[in-house]
Amino acid sequence: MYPHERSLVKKLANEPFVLLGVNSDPKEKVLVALERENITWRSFWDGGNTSGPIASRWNVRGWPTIYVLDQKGVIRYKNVRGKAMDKAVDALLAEASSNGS
Amino acid sequence: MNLRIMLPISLLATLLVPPLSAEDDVATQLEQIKKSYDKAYQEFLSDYRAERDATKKREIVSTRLPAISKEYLDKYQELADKHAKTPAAVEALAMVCQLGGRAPGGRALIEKAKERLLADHLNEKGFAKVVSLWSRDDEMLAKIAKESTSRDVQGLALYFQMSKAKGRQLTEKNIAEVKPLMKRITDEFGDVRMVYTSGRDRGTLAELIDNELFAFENLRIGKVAPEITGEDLDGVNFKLSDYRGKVVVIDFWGDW
Repeated sequence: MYPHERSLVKKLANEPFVLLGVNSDPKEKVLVALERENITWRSFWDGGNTSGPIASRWNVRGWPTIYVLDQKGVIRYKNVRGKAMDKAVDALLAEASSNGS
Repeated sequence: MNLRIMLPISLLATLLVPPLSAEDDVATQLEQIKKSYDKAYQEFLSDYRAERDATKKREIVSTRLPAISKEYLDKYQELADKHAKTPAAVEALAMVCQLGGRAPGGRALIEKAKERLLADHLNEKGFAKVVSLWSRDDEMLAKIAKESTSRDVQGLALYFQMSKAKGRQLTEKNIAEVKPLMKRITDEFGDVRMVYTSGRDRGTLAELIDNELFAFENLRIGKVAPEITGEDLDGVNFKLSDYRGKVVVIDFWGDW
């Protein structure tokens, strides 16, 4: 996951795009991962385990779980990975620019 | 030797060192098996991770994992046999079922363990942790819900029945069928907790059902994503809607 996310974030650095994580690791573990994997994107910290308040509310039962939202905050895609994720994001960015926003 | 002195001293010694009760003793044994299993499993995992060659990696999985699983399955089985019909047996049999899937000859032992659990422990609160072993078997779930005298067990059996009817998620199609059972579970067993044998606590059945309904109402494609507020990894508060106006990928992740 990490290399793909890194390249997506880098490629779209100048676009109206953001990747937000919701992390389920204990603090000390995730801080090591940030360093090791050069993770630059922001994450909500979900309390240190997979039963955290955000993952529970979002009914997440498998990791990673992906949601893609458009500029208005509407859920447009779920669980797209790799190339499918890129395509979904590209489509929403194209839609946004054609809306003139 | 003066017996009049000896006796009080030995009496004092017994008072100072209370003997372990049988229950404490078996709980300690369970704990020890679990600890040494965890250690063996971690060693396997770190060897697996350290190996770079794909063929050797597969070999590590196909030889070490069944060996560890069998070794500890046998230990749990022995403990379950020795302490049959005690609450500790439930834990041990649950572990037999967990390890059986990866141990040679494990399938037959799982079936036997399940029979024992049903025959000896159906009415114990501890049985609630193992109801998931029948999560795909409607008939057995119905029987368990009907026959167990434990509220926890009844609640979980009904929950798994509901889960099975629901499938992967609630949809327009299945919600009418599933909702009455959801309501019954919330009303009658809402406070029952779902706890795994690993000790992981997923919360009360009412909360789990509430989350399912929330997901159905709010997490579908075409719905505005619910707000998320929380702190980032540096402890700074922020919220999802701070990023309105951007295309957002939300990635639920963990470093595992």
